[in-house]
Amino acid sequence: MTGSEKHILVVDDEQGFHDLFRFVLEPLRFNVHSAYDGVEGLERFRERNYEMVFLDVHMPKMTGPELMKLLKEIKPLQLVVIMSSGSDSRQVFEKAVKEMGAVACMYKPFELDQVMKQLESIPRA
Amino acid sequence: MKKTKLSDLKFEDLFRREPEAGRLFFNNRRALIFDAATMGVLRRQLLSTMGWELAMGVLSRFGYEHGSNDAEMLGRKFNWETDTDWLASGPFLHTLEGLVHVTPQKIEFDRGTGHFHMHGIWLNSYEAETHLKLFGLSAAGPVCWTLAGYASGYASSFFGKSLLAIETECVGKGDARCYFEIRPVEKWGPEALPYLSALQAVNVAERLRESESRFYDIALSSSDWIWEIDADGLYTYCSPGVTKILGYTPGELTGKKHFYDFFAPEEREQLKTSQLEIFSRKADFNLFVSRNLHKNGEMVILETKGVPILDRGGILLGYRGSVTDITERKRLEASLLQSEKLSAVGQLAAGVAHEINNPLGIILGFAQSVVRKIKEDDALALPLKTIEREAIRCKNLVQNLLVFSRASKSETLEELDLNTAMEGVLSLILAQAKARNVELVRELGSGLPKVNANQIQLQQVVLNLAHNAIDAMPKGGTLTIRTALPGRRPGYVELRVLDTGTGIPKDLQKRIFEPFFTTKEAGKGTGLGLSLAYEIIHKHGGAIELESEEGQGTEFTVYLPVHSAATLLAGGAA
Repeated sequence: MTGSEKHILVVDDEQGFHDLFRFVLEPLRFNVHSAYDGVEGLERFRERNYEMVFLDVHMPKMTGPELMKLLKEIKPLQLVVIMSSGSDSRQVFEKAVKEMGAVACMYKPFELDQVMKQLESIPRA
Repeated sequence: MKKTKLSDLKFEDLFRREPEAGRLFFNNRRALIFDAATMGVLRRQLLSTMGWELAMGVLSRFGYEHGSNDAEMLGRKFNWETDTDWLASGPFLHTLEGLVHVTPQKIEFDRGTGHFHMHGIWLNSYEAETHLKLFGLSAAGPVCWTLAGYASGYASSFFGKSLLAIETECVGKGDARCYFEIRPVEKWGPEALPYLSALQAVNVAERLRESESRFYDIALSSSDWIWEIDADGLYTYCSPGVTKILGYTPGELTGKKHFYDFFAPEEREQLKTSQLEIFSRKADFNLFVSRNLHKNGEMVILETKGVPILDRGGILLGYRGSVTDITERKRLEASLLQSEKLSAVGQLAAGVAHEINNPLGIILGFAQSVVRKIKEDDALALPLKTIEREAIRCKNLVQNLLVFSRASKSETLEELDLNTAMEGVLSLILAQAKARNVELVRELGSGLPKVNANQIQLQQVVLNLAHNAIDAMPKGGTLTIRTALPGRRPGYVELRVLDTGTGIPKDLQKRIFEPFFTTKEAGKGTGLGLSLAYEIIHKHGGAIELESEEGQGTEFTVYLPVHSAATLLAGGAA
């Protein structure tokens, strides 16, 4: 990774995940931004560029995939990772969100290595 | 020719001896002298071998022939002064023969109009005396059957039409005298029926044959097993239905086996005791369910109905009834119950998974990130790694639970070669088996038709079964994984997982597919592996069966519909 800071947006209604992303990623020189529902996520997204956006699926006001659709309209090449905690049929769900443009779908509880793998896919500046 | 009056009739005139020729004659016919007790022997034999109705029929008929012969001879031999003399000569002859003392009370008849009515007192009936001596007081009605038959026969022959004598009072049933009344058949009411059917003894036998043949038609064509046992529980009749139900021919049971001989050994004493208790009350039983050993060694579940066979005195002679094989029905019921349980677990799991996955993701994430930051020799390394490991265990448990909820949703099945699917998991199983000193034997059948299946789920089933098998062999052993075309189920491919382990006790076998049922110590198993396997296989339209002997090992058999059959089934259901 280069010396310049990377910006990550995490949209999730669970405080714990924000704390976790900060705890893991800030020492790696990531700048972690937080939003707690879809509407707030959209506001944060409009404020600046993010190297990667992590979206929870089940949130108040707007679901992760719905928000992803709006983000992609603003910035079609935005890297988005979907984080699901649900019991939806994986094959069907994963296929659907990838068709909508997600780079990956992670299922909670995911392991740290999965997060790192996604971050490694960010192109070097 | 001189006219005869009743008072002219003398025993001496009617009786003739030919001692040198060994013959006696009475009323011009060869006569025999029996003692009444010898007639009693006949009576006892008839009653004990044929029962009341048929014995009554034979003896009534015998009396009837005797009476009508007497009437004919008396009419032919004598030129009677009046019809009344002739008519009265029958009872009189009966008296002379020493059978009974008859005192007519009233004789009315008119050959022109057909009117006839006679009644009278019969005293010292040999028959009532004999019956009393042999059987005691009769609870079932009068007993002077030959005498009634004689009166009917005599009057009918004399009059040339059907007349019937009924004994309304009888010493044999405790009355002070025997009393008879004779009328034309049509002048009697329903009370005449038993007497008429007795006189038509041949027809009774015919009816019996008809009824028997009806019974045999039913018994032969029924898939149920119709049986009869004696009071000791020994089979006295078995219909051919037994062969399909228990594998034995009727001849192998009748007279040789008792009703309890086929009960499952571990339940035999208890079932026998409860049946004998019913027998002691002479009660009917319905829906008596028992597990029984088929000749081929398989266990069949049978439902039995029975009614007691009692003699006239209420003594239990045995039971008769029928047996229906309900093995398949019970299996379906159990399978339905199992599906309902699993689907309930699935719905519950889907509901809570979301709530559990979030906190679990946070715990696992922090644990893993902290573990990476500290050194191996740090005092907190062990506790943190433990938190990480246990969080992963929770994660796996939740994922297994979710398979239930997803099981109800459609997951793609594809045309699959079972052996190829097995290759993928065998290496995983081999590694595990080696570590536990278990030998893995692979017997993959060749030329198997393709099945309709979801590869990942199928592999999960085999992994679960193999994992349990290895756990059941703590001292090592042999694990066999076999694929083949089953002989018993056309249209299916079978997959067997056999171990030489500790086996599963009978009482646990039926619970083993229940979710969260586990025999492993706490923390070792989730109790979901087998219920998952069950759910997955049923979703595939297949079946999973288990055979296990304690100390010998366990064998799971999975049946999967072959691809073409599955397509046919789907097409047929549409």
